[in-house]
Amino acid sequence: MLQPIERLNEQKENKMSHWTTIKTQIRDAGALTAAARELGLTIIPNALARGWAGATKESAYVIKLPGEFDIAVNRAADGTFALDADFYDGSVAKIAGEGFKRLIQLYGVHKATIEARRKGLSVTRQTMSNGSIKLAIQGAL
Amino acid sequence: MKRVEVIIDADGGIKIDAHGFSGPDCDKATRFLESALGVATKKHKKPEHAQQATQGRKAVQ
Repeated sequence: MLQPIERLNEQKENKMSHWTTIKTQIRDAGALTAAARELGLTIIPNALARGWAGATKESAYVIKLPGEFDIAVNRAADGTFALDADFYDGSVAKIAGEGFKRLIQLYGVHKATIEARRKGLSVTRQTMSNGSIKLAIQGAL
Repeated sequence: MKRVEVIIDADGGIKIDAHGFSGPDCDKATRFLESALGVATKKHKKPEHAQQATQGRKAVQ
């Protein structure tokens, strides 16, 4: 009930609002660790990620999965972290989402929360019916 | 009341929505999140921003 009234007040006061669309880039190992932890996974620095047919890949970080394959995390040429795994048997997608979408979503949630709290702002988290996660940030903005 | 909403979609896309700011304060309030989260692909200012300069607060009340 609160939100529509707030919206109405904003219109009356002629305050502006804007929105920005962001393509997520993974740069913070701490936020990635928090995202992995929320999925019940552990992340290990400088380890070997398990891939197809017993192959392993030396990685800056490895997100350990309960199945046969892990998620390798390595720095790409542009300095961001790239995720890599074998999706063959579906075990990776089941936990991290197809194309790591679930993991990337939670990375965004944790990264935004960390940055807001660092500025002393309050963060309220809410999961929407369509699977989106909404963070309401308030304080000395 | 000033408020920033960050909506992180299930496909990993992020939308940052700022409410209740006037003028450049709005950009300032969300910039730290934009730069921390990734690359801004689209920016959109809602109509009330454009109206502000010409209408002023009393004109709409």
